[in-house]
Amino acid sequence: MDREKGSAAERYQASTSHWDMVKDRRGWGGFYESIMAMMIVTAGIVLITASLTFMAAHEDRGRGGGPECREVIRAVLTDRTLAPSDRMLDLRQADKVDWTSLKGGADIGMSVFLTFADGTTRTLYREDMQDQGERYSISEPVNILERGGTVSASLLTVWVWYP
Amino acid sequence: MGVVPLKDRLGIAGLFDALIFLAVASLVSVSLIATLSAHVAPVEAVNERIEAAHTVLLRSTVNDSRGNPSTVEELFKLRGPGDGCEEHVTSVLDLLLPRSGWRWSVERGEHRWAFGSKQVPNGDVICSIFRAPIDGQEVTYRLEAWPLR
Repeated sequence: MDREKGSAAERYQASTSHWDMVKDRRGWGGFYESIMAMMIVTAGIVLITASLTFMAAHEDRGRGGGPECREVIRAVLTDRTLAPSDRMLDLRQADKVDWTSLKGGADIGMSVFLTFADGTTRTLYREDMQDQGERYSISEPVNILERGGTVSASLLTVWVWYP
Repeated sequence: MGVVPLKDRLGIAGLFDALIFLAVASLVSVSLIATLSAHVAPVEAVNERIEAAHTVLLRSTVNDSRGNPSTVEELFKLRGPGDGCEEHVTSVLDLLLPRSGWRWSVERGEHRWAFGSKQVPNGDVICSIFRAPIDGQEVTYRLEAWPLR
């Protein structure tokens, strides 16, 4: 009897270890499987982050101008020497503006000019532009305070390029 | 090189399938996000641009019928457009809103003036409205703009 019992127990143990092996082959739960799961999740996060980063860079270009270009035009519009109020530029103060400081320390070339409704332009700051390389421009509507209390409408344009 | 065990082969195949799935899922989700957000970002930028152009137009000066400089806002608030006013409005808005169609109108009581396009087309039209009170009345300045195709 004991021999038969022992034989049955051995047969049962052998069968369960066989099914454990089958489950282990086709299922989850092992050390290597957990490593693989973490790798897959990490790869997914990396892929989505990279895609969103490229998409954000594409949007930056779509909005017009690079990030430095927008920083420069924002600096011009908020410079209290040149802009006494929102979108109002006092050109009598243009000579007192430290234009290079508006770059914010970035190693870029820059030109700033105004276009008026009659088609004339006025250059506020200019550096020699290179013929090649990445260049960006951005424009914003502004009022220009002139002598005699007249206020004209103008388009402020900033060009930025990377030397 | 020995024979790769069945378990390892299944693991590598699973990893490969998962990476392919993730790449496709990333592409689909990013293109969906790009499609949905593409309509939001430009509208905000265009809206801001039209508000700015309208402010700049209203603050710009033009000579009234007596030859004195007056802001466009005050001109319509106190009197009405003089000679050269339409040319001024047209040249300013053409400059500030390139590649856009526009219609600018002013309403003061029973008086109404309109400049620019005769009709506003169907589709996306951005509208900027300024209201200024005067003598119990209200002057309404309305700028409507749309992209030219």
